[in-house]
Amino acid sequence: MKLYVASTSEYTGKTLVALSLAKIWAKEGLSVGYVKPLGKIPVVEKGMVVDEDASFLAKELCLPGSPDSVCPVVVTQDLVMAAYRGEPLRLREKIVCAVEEAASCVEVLLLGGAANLRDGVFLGISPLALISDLDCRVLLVDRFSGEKSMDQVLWAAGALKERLAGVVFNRVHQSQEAFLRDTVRPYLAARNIAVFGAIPSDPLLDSVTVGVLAASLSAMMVCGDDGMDAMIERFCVGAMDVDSTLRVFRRIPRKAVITGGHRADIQLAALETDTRCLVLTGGVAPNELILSRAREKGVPILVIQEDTLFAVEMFENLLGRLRIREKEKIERGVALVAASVDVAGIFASIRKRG
Amino acid sequence: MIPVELFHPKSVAVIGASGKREKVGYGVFSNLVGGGFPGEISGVNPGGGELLGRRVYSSIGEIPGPVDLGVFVVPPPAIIEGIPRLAEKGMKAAVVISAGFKETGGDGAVFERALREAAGKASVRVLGPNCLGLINTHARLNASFAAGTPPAGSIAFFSQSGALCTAILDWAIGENVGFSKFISLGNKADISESDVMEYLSKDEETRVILGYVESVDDGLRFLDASREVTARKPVILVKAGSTAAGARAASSHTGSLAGSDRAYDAAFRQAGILRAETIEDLFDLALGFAMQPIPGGDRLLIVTNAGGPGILAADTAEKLGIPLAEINPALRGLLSGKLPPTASLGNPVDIIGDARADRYREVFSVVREDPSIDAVLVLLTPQAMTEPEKTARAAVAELSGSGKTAMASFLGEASVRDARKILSAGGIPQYPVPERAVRSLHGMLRYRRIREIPPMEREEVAGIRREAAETAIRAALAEGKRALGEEESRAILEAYGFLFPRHATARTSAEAVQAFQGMRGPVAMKIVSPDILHKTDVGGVRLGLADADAVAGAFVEITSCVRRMDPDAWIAGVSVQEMVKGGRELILGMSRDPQFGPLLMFGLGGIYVEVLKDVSFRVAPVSRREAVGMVREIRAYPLLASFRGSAPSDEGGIVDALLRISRLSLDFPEIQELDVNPVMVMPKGRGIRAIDCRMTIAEAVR
Repeated sequence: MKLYVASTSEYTGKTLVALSLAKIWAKEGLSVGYVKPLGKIPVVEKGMVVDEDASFLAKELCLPGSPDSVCPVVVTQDLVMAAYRGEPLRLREKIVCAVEEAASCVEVLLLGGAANLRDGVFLGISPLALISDLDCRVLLVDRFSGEKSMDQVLWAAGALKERLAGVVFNRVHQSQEAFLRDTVRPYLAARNIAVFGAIPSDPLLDSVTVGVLAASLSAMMVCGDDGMDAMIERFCVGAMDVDSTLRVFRRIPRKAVITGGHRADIQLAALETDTRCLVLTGGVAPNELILSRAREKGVPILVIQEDTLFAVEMFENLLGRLRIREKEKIERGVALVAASVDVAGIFASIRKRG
Repeated sequence: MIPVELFHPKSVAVIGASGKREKVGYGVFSNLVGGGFPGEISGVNPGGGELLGRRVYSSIGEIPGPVDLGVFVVPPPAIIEGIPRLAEKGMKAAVVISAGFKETGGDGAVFERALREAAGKASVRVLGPNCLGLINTHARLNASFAAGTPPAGSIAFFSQSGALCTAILDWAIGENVGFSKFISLGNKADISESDVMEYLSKDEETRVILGYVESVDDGLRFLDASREVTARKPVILVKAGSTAAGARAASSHTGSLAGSDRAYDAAFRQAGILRAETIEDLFDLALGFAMQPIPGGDRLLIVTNAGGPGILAADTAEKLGIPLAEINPALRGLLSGKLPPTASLGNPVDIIGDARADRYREVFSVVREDPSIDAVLVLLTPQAMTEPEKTARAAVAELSGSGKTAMASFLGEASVRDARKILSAGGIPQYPVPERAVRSLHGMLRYRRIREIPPMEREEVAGIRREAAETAIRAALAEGKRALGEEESRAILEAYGFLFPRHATARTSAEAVQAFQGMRGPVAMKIVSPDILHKTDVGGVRLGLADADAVAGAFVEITSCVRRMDPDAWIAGVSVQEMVKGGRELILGMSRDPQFGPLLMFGLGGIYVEVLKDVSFRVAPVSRREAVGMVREIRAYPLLASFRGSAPSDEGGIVDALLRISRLSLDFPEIQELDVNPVMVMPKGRGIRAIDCRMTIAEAVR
């Protein structure tokens, strides 16, 4: 049985869903495999170009075999140039070969899809054609956003026809739950589209560790080595007077605060509230009193040479677009999927035809 | 409790006494010896020997007799080690002058913790570290490295800034102002301003307590302690960091987050503390309290030999709400018999420029017997016929001990210098300009009212469902929420007895119309979306919708506006709410201050809060009297009472609501901020209606 996990756009949580399904089924005693036909995050590991996502999943699921058996095609600069030159790439064969071989040794093979159902056409590997050639069923993962989601789901359903097993909505805000249950599900059901679940949006999954942030900012770590693994869910710029600062900071838990190195008042207000890390800009180190306070509270302080805008942009690029790698997040993600997705229903649906 | 040994030791040991004049260890030792301390003084220094005729031991162990008070001027590790060893010799209190603790960060913070622990274990109370030391003039104890000792008197002064201590000491010595105690608090590792105030309130040598404060460590304790202290003695504090710039400076100076100045202001007011804006105010007030009795009433008589200064004094009195005493016919008769026909017999009494001392004396002798006068201000400008010294002596002779509160302002400098000394020595506070004298009297009158305030009583409010609020707060916290919107906050406030108008959430225009038909009168409609913070900015609010068409139209308009202006926002629906008519808009709120805890806020809605910042604050819990005070304090209060024939608002309803918020914020330390905005207050007897609200919560340590 092959289940292709597709998505409608980037950062929908496809990898998390695939990883969770694999873990849940493996726990139930099924042998589960995973192949990512087209890898778009090239990384050199032990002298080989592999896909970072696929390599992570292979390790997480303890899959045997070489990296290219998990991800037969990784998009590299050379490959892209070859495609531009019109050279024969013969990627389809490589993929089909890898998928069929993997499928032959497991009960369920999960395929990690591209960002949408068009990615790869340029390289001669249209996802729609692959799905059909490999005889997969498809699970569509969508980040729920009202009628935009309906456009995506209905289009995919039309293109995939009976191969679409159903849909999982991800990052569903609490205020959307009732609407999804009472309005969206009946609507899709009436069009024979199964909704297997609605995974609630979760701040932890969107968070970034202090360590990752420090590395992205090339920041100097002044204190708080022990707090490197703390998860940051949001960030806040401190540039107001203390009264309003406290008001704002209190509303935002598990945050990083970006402020000038000389703003002792803001830094103290940050340390007074739920703050995971202080980012001080302009290359100004904190004063000794702040430092001892931060040490007392175990809050790391990062100092960067750049200005506040730089730090803000860096954050925006990180938050909510992170690949899930940390143990804490994986556990939470799997737990969320187990609780909110009809995993058995998915299995039943693919077995019907598989 | 501060042990009596801190201020009245029988024996003192200086750890780190030094023979080198440039060292602090010398300064402290020589102050102790030079101040004439009658008890045992010993020094500890590895070099041993003798210093200023006293024994210096090479270690603590060698001190033969008991030690009551240890003064430390050695590096931090030696202090931490020395405290238990001196405790074995009976030491009850220590003054740690040395720096190198919290203020330096890093290891310093570790040392400070260790110091606190060592002192706690040895049951020794510690003043400092990083302080100037202390002086008790009446015990002739100068355990400080200040330059000189002030004369003995009845003013006690404590300060978080050592440098300010030295400046004030110098001033006290220069002006010959008497002090009872001088206490430099330093880092306040152990002994805090509350401890000191509690001690001073029972100190018989102290009549008035002054202090300079940058931050208060335990706001609630401070509030409790001050309430008790101010019932006995006046407390006048200067609080530094009252502006944003000042607060920033204070933060980096003390390493503690300065609470909001509004919280300090409210707390001082509730605790009966007089807040001085400047050091000058502080001492002006102190002189009044130290030298004169608290006025028996507020009627002031001004006696002057020149019109101008008299008018200035009268202006200041009027501005501060001090009534000038009526000159009754009997008094007028007595005065007219003694004054020339050109004198003015109103108040100010102008005895004109040629007045010699005897003319002043005659007025004094009449007014001191007059029961319709509570306070006398004597003004003098040096003119050709004036006799400043003789006049000063007359004032002292007639007014000191007369039962009236007397103050003086002799203007000028060269020709009144000696007269001023006579006044001060005779117990009449004298000020360089009349305005300062009147302000000082104003402080004394305020204290007179403070003393009359009955002790605080806990207010009970009825109809509270605490469990319901607890369930709602627990649930929100479990979901990791911090900011609670209208729906969630409303459930909590309803459990605490707040009334809201009828409301419903509609997902379609038809549902909106249906909801409207079940309500009375016009409705307000508001977008419901987790992504929109400012509803009006995206066209998400419509008011006064009186019929079904308007409601359906508003639904379409609101949702269209939001879709256009914020396409990514999730629209959960539109809330339809009955409009409250005939009320006045208010704002009630609470914000948890880092030092004082829940700070309640009250104001009239709209421009009164936003533009005029016309709001009042109190620290919870508030008594009914304080809640009433909050309502009446705002400048716009007359609008609530009754304005141009409109019915007065339900003031009792507002007070009740403030008491409920006070209770709620004490019951749930999880609530960090709370806004009920707007609230409509109905005419008298019809209560209040909360319209919108929000809260911020956090896990709290209970």
